[in-house]
Formats: sequence, C-alpha cells, structure tokens
Amino acid sequence: MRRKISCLFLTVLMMITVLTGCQSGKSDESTDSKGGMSEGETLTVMCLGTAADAYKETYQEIADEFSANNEYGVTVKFEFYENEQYKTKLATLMASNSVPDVFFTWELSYLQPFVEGGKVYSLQEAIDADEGWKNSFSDGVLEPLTFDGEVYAIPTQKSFCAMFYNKQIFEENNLQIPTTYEEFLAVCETLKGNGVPPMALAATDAWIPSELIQQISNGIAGIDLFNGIVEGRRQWNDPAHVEAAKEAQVMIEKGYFQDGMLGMSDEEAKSQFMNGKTAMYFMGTWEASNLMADDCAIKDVVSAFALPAENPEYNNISVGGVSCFAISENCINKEEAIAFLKYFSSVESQEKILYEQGRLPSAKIETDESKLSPLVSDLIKLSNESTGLTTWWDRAFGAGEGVEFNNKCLAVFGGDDAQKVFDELQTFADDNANR
Amino acid sequence: MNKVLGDKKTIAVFALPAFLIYFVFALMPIFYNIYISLFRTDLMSPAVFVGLENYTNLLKDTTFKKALVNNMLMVAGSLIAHLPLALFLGNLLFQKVKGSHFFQTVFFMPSVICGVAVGLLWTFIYNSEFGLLNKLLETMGLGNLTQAWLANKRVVLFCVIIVVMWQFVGYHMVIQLAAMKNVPEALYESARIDGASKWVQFRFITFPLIKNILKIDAVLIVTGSLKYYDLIAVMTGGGPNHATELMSTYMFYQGFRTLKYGYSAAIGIVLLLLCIFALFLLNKVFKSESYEY
Repeated sequence: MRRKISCLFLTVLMMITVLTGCQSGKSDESTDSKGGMSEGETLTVMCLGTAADAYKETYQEIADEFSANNEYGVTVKFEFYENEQYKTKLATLMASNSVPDVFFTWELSYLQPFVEGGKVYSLQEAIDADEGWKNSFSDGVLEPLTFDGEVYAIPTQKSFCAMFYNKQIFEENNLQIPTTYEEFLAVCETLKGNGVPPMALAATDAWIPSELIQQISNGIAGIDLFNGIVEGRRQWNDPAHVEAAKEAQVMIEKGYFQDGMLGMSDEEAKSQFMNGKTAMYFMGTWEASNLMADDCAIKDVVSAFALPAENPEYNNISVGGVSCFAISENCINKEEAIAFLKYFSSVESQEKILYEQGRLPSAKIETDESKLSPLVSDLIKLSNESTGLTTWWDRAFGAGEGVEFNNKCLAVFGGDDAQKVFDELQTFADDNANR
Repeated sequence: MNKVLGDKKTIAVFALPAFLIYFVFALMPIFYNIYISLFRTDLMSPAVFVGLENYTNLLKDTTFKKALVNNMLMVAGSLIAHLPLALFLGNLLFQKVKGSHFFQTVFFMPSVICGVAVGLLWTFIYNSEFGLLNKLLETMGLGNLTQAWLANKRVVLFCVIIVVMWQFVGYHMVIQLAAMKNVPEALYESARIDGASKWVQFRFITFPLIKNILKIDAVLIVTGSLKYYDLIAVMTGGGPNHATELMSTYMFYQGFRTLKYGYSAAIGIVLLLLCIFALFLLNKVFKSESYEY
C-alpha cells in the first residue's frame, strides 16, 4: 500500500514539475496579449529587433510621439523579438488566434498564409479613403503586399543588398569601384595578393551565402529568372543558379573570403569588416545603421556599390524587399491601429528613420542631402539606379522552398556539387507542393 | 488513515487532478495530433482531408529519412555512453575508491546544467576561430585537423552526439549506482570469501540484480534520444543543410517554419510510434525474473 501511495505521489510530483516547467512561459504570453487588447487603451506592436539593433530606439521614439499626441488616447507598446524567435512566435500566435494588434511582417509568401487564413485585416478601405496616404508610397512597394486586389500591410522600409566597401583599403591598394564582373574579380585578386581578405561573409546563417548566390544569379539571368520561378516557368535547378553557385565556389577556392568563414556567425564576420580587416561585406542596406554608428571603426570610410552583373545587360538588379506592419483581424482598436500606421509611414517618421538610422524609406520623400550621412546618400543613389528588385527567396517563397534554397546555398559553400544540390532543391519543391 | 486511503473513491479523488492534467496536456494533444496528421493544414485556412498522404509523403522525403538515420545514430551513441560506459564508471565509484562522492558530483554535474547552456558552451568549444578544441589540436601539433566543426556536414553530427554522451553519462551513472547500492553487502562478502574476482562479482551479483533498473534506464535512454531536441536546436538548428536534422527538429521546421502542420503532426506520430516500439523491444530484450533479496 505504502509503495502505491508513494508511487502516486511521485507521479503527481513529476507531472507538476514537468507541466509547470513547460507551461509557465505560455501563460505569460496569453495574458500579455490579452491585456493589451481588453484595456482598449494600449496598442501592442510586435516587432523584429535584437538588443544590438540601433533602430529600436527610433521606433520607440516614434511610438512615444504617437502615444503622446494621438486623438484616441491610446498608448503604443512595442515588443521586440529576435528573428528566429519572432517567426516561431508569430506562427504560434496566428494559429491560436492571439496575434497582437499590429505586427511586423515581410512581403509575399511570408504574409500570404496569414492573409489566406483570414488573420490579417485588409487595409484597402483605409487606403482608398485617404488619397494622400495612398500616393505617399514609392511606386510598386504595395504590390507584394496586395492579395486578391487588397492591400494587407503597410511598408515601412525598403532594403536591398549592396556590397559595402572600405574606401580607405581601396585607396591603399589603388583600386576603383568595379563596373564589370571581371573587374570585381580583379579587385578581389589584387586585395588577396596584397594580403587583405577581400570579403567578409558568415556561412553559419544559411540566408547569408544565399543572398550572395541570388545576387550573382540575377546578374547571370536577369529578372526573368526570379519571375520565371515565381510563375512556375523556370525551375530551381535552372542553369543560372548552378552557374552562380559555381562562381561562389570559385571565389571560396581563390580565398576571396576571410579565413574561418565557414564557422563564423554574422556578428563575427561583420566585426571583421567593421574593424577594417576585410575590404568588402555583402549585406542588406539595413546594416547602414550599424555601419554609421559611433562605435564603428570605419564609419567615415564606408561606402557601397552594386555587385556588377556577369552579363552587363543585367546590371543593377538587386536582391531586396520591403518590411512592413500589418494589423491583425482580431485587433479591437482598428481605427487607432490604422492611425498609428499612418503616423509611422508619415513623412516625419520616415525622415526620422532615414536620417537617424540610415534606413531607406518606403515613402516618397524629398531627401535633404545635408542631413544624410555619405553612406546613406550612396545607398539612395544605388536605390535610384536599380532597375529591378528580386525578393529574397526565403521571403518570396516563405519557408519551404525559400528556406530550402538557403540550405542548399550553404551546402554549396560547404563544397557540395552545385548541380546535385539544386536538383535536390527541385525535387524538394515538387514534393513540397502536396504536403 | 489506511481506511480512508483504502477507499476506491478517495483514491479516485486524489488521482483526479493528476489525471486531468495528464489528460489535457498529454492525451488530448496526442489524439489531436493523430487527427490533424490526416489533413493538409496551416491551422488557419480550411484544412483539406488527405487521409494517409502525409505518411506516404514522409516515405519519399529524403530529409526525413536523413533525420531518421541521424536519430538512430543518436540512439546508438547514447546507448554506448549511457549503458556500458556509465555502468563502468558507476562500478568504479561503487568500489569505494577515495573521493568517490566527489567524482559522483563531478560526473553528475553536466546533467544539472540546462540544455541551452550546454549547447552554448560546446558551440564555443567547437568554434573554429577561438574554440578550445581547435586550440588544443594546435598545441598538440595536430593543426591540420582543425576545422569549423559545426559547419562540416561530415563531422557535425558526431560532434553533437559526443556532447549528448558527455551530458548525460553522469545522470545514468547515478541511477545505476543507486541500484548497485541497493544490493545487500552480504552477497559481496560471501563472494569475497569464496575468492570471487571483481569481474565475477559484477557479472554474477551486481549485473543480474540491477537488471531491472537497467531496463528502465535503457527505456529512458532510447526514448530520450529519439525525441532529443534542445541541444541540436541551440548548436546547429538542424543544419548545415539538414546534416544534424533529427525527427524532432524536422517536425519543428515543418510546423513552425513552413506552416505544414499536418505534415509536422505526421512526423510527431511516427516519433511516438517509434518510442512505443522501442519500449516494446526493450521489454523483450530485458525480460528477466525479479529477484527477492
């Protein structure tokens, strides 16, 4: 008898430990988001951002200004989460119908399932009602946020990939900005020969090698490669992808990346560039806010150019996209949320984000050169020269094929056969269609 | 007291909370999981009933097969470290060597640290730039062996399995040691008088008498390494290119990253079936009569 009781007791004890261990986190979340809604005075905004991201402060400032001045008396509360954490959390909250009022999102396939699931509030009516707001956005930025003719999110930032470079190192080695792909390789060769690692790149995060390969393949096959795959006319194992992957492998072989690339996180690779150890760094323009920050050693000598295309006719087709905010369907204060989005995408806020953080706005604004840092004005120039944007694959195809493309590019960097890897990706895409 | 506790109703009342919790958090999710594994669903748009298609797709999925193989390697690695090796260490400490209490704590320590911290710790050890392992190889004159351990798809899985072996060897050692301490001293005393060697004592006294505990331990080891998740998630996230993907990490990936919850649920069910099968198999292997002492 005693044994049975102690058995039972132990079982209960075990269950309690197990359950409290797992459940405490979850219950916090639900009270959090519910609290935000039921009060009717707080607008919760869930957003991407890590402790290291400088833009968070500016976002918070904009939110505070809105909280202080809006006619509804609502207070905006930002919640920031790290990238991977954010994706998990948003997916979970979407499935359980408890998304905060406003949430950060990317375009196309990332947003699509949420829209199709009826979780996102359509902004079409609000946009139609406010002609001025509608016309404030740059051409085409609303397109990837439009599903079935209705706009579901408001872009707040535009970003694209550029090759950041250290002007000082270029001068020391008598180098000019390359205008053709051959010149670019020659620049790398010279730097390598002079003992400077040409490029810093992190190959532990799969999306980083991936955006470089995507950029190279844009230069090989032009925007039709992207459109073709999206429309199903071209396949993932397109010769352009294979060739781009082989180009990347040649660069690795010749030692154009820093030593230890394969084991380096982005933070480590970036710090190599920021401390002037490598000459170039291929990354999204969002990095500008970190590169022009006071603690960056090369902030006065950093600039950027577009990676020249292998086929010159496809120059200036960048990998890029928009970041946006959307309103969830179960947000109670939709009117207030729309007002906040208007405020966030207003000229004043967008200027603030541009001048303070060097983030490119999605709204049409007259830029004041005197307020811009040289790096940002270079980036704006690049943005104006751009003849096309192809969205990062992992956004255009969401997870699934997009993330798998990243994984395959990582495998390419690890030395796998390019043709085999992209054949595998095509098989994955075929299989994934009916999962 | 005994009278009250002998009453079936009282027992039921006392067992009810535990059962309710178990029902809500264990049984219901399992049945719900079986249910949604028959659908193609992202839990938002209307689900499409596909029958067993998710399962047949699993058979074709190379990544899943890879995860399955990785899981088997993980089970094998854990079994090696946590049965023979732990038993060996446990037996050493059982011999009342000096400082055996101290070593018991030392061996047990890693399993007290939470998985995420262990993962970070070993990520640093394996780091290609400032990692302890590469530095150690260099000082030993084996500089040509240094590499980015967690980025090389050929070695990364073994790197992770070694961490799992290291982390839990003490845990299973303590379980086995506790079982050994339950064996009556008199048996060993008479064995010694008969001139039995240490090996013979272990083989014919200790081992048969702790076999029951070993069975439970083996179940813990096998099911634990089948559903292993945290270290992989922290150290490699299943990468590079799925080289360290386990069924649990792939399940997470398919569910929360690609929003294919039905497919992900099917992986979960396969995992459950494998665990049950392992349980069944171990029960057969470790079939033993219980000794009274």
